[in-house]
Amino acid sequence: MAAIEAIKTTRLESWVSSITLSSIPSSYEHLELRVSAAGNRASYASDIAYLRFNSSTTSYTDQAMLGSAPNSEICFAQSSRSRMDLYRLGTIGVGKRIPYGALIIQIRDYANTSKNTTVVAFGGTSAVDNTSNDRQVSVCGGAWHQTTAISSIEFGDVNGTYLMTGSVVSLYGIRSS
Amino acid sequence: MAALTVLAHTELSSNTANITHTGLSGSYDHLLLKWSIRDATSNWYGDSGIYFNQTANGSTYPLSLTKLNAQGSSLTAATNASSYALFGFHNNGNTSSNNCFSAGEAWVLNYADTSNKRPILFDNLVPNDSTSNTSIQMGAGLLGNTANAITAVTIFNQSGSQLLTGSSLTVYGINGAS
Repeated sequence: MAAIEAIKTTRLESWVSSITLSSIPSSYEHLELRVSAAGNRASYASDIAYLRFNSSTTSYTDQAMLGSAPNSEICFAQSSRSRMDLYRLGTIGVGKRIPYGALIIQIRDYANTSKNTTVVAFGGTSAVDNTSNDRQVSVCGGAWHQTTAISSIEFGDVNGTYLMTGSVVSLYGIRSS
Repeated sequence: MAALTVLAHTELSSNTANITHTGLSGSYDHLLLKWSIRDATSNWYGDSGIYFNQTANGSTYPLSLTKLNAQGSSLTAATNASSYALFGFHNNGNTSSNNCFSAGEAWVLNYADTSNKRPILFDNLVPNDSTSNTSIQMGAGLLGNTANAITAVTIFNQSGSQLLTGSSLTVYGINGAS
């Protein structure tokens, strides 16, 4: 049995407010998302992505971030939110072409009913068409303070209202046996 | 041939000093370790370590390391010139938020190569309901031993606290195209 299996890929052919991956089987140890995406936040060359699990708007722990912003190091922890914020998402707000951001997101122990789900993301974006130096890379994450198995994941844009055409979100299952 | 294969997995059903996986095959290109740790330390975090081949000895298994640690808004960098273990990452301690476990992974490249030293990359997150007491780390290391293929991996708490029920370590083997 393969240790990693593709569960679903969504590629946007038009603008949407968010992407929801539903009916996720609980037969894996962990999940991973591989994302190339951009939103429509105005006036900025990067944005923040978010995850919501099982449509929940509560129980997300404080979230840590370590990265660059853009020519110096930065780290912070933000108070618990109604979602899991992850850095970075590209945006159409500045530039001639859409600078898609990249995210590799681990969703650990998502079906373990004795442990909270912990999320770790490695992400970044480089806005090639602008001069604002808004090019950033980071490692970040937090936990969903619930032990309910995750069966759906919503992916969206924190400061914009739409995800752009061409954005791709792929979901994989990781086994432990 | 599958590119990613599960070699060993343990999730603790009782509190235990460490998790060790032995008898790892040398037929893969790289190892990927994934851990999830909470320990009995009476604090929001404890300090974890990983060593190889069941040998906690810096002479036989010297390991140099550089790491970044972010705790709240504090960022620090450090290096260990010589040690025996992959130190430098935290795990959830027993006073952190209920049911929270750290999540880390490490790539051990060319782990069975006995001609060259083995490089290691890792990242790790300790979630907690506190903006000042949550942390994230990343690091790179080099295992100086060139005499022995890695056949065993141990994760442990540096101060000797027991790893709590639910803590886990999974070892994957990675293959490239032949």
